[in-house]
Amino acid sequence: MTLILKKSDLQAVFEHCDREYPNEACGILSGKEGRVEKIYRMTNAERSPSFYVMDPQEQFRVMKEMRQAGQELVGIYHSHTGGRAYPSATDVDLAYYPEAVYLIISLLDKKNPMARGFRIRERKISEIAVNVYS
Amino acid sequence: MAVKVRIPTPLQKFTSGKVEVESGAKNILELVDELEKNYPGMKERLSDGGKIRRFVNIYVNEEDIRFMNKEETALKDGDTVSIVPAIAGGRGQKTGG
Repeated sequence: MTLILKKSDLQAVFEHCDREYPNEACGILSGKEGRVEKIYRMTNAERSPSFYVMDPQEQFRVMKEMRQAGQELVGIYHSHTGGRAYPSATDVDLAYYPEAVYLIISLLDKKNPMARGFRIRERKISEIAVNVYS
Repeated sequence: MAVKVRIPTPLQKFTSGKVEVESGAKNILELVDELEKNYPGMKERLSDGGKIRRFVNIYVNEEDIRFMNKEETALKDGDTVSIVPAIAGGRGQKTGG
């Protein structure tokens, strides 16, 4: 299992994270069979540097749009603006989407953001390779 | 006719894999009780002390019940109730991870 995404999409995710800094940014990666076809930049209703909750109304709208377009929830991304790219205890507690890859972007080195992908199932974390193509 | 209830992936283990179930409940609290009766274990996942949990979003048709009458939101025949876990997380204060 691999998460496959276009370099320009990953760049757009990095830019979104940078724009929200120091608050955490979050978004949805939609597509099929691990391949990202579209990214949705979502609103962090918490506007916090250590926590994110997607705006519920926006989340519903996007998930409905994806369902109607026959797209899957391939991944969920969010930034750790002051932490490493690894699921925190909070991430594990609130991982309700076993089918998704959780893409975490660390902005510890703001000029060189780092992204890593994980599955979080039944509180178990496993790393997923992220395949970026141009 | 009844109310259609969409069950999210992590709760489908309670409904034997069913993505959608039907209910005759008249409001959200009744719905939670009915789900518990038919699929034990659901109530604790959805609510705490009679309140829907913070990271559980419930929509009647397209509307978040937080912007309606919350747990008292009335249901009628033909409504679709969607139970959707919040997408949430973050570095947290203590873990630093």
